[in-house]
Amino acid sequence: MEQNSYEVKVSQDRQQYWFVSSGKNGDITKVVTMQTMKRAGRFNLALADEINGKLDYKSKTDNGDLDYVFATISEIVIYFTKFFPASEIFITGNTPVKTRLYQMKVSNNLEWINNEFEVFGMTDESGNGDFTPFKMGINYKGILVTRK
Amino acid sequence: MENINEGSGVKFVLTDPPEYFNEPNAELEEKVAYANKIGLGEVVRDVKTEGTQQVVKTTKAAQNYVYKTKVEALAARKAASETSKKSRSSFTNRKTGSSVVKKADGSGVKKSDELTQRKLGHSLKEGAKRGKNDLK
Repeated sequence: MEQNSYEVKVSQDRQQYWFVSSGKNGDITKVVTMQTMKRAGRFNLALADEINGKLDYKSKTDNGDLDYVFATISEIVIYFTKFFPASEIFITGNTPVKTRLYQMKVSNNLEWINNEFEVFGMTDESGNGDFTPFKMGINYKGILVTRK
Repeated sequence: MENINEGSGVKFVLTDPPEYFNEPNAELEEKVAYANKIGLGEVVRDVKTEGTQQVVKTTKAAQNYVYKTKVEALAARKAASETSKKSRSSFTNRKTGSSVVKKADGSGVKKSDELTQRKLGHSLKEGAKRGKNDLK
C-alpha cells in the first residue's frame, strides 16, 4: 500500500498487534487481535482502542488519521498471512457503518489487494451465507481475505 | 525484544503484550460470537451468471455439503409428509369410527366396538386376578 503506516508491536504468537495512532485527539493505542474462529484456519480481525488500560472494541476515535490506521491494518494482515499463509481473515464491523467503512477501504484498494490476496464478500447475515468474490457496489455483511 | 523489518518497510517489533490483552473482555467475546454466527460460510471461488439465474460452481467440499443438505432436506420433507398422512388417517378413523377390523372368522367388527370389548376383557381378567389374590 502506498500510504504511510505506523510502527507495530506484535506478540510472540503473532496474534496480537498494537500501534499508536497520532492525530488531532492525541496519541491513542490501537489494538488488533486475530481471534481464532470455529472454522479451522479462519481468524476474526478485531480492532480496539486502549482506553485507561482497558480494551474498548466499540469506541469511535475519529483521530483524523484513518488512512494511516487502515494502511497499518493492511500491513498487519500481510505480516500475519506471511506467518500463516493458509489462513483466512474475516473482517466485519460491530456496526453497519463500520462494516461499510471497511468495505469502502477494500474497494478503494482492490486492485492493489488483488495482487497478493483473494477477497470475498458475504451478504447473508443468517449464518448460512457463502463467501463469493468481492465486487464493488454490493453491500456486504462481512469480508474474507486470503492469500493467493 | 526483536526487530523484524518486513518487505513493506513497516517495522514490526516482537515483544510481550501488555497486561490488558490477558484480561477477559465481554466485548471481545461478543465480537467472536458474532463472527462465528455469520462468518463460517464456504468460500465460493467461481460464480457465473446465466441470464437471471446464478450458477454457482463451488469447491468439492462445498458441493458435497450442498448435495448433503439437499438430500437431508428432501428426506425431512418426505418424513414430514408421511407423518402428516398417518396422523390424518388415524384422525379420520377416530372421528368417524368407520374402520372395520376383520375377525379371524371373517366377520367385521367396528374398531370402536372391538376396543370396548378389549377393554372389557382386560378389566375382567384384572378383576379375576385381584379376586384370587384376595383369597390367598
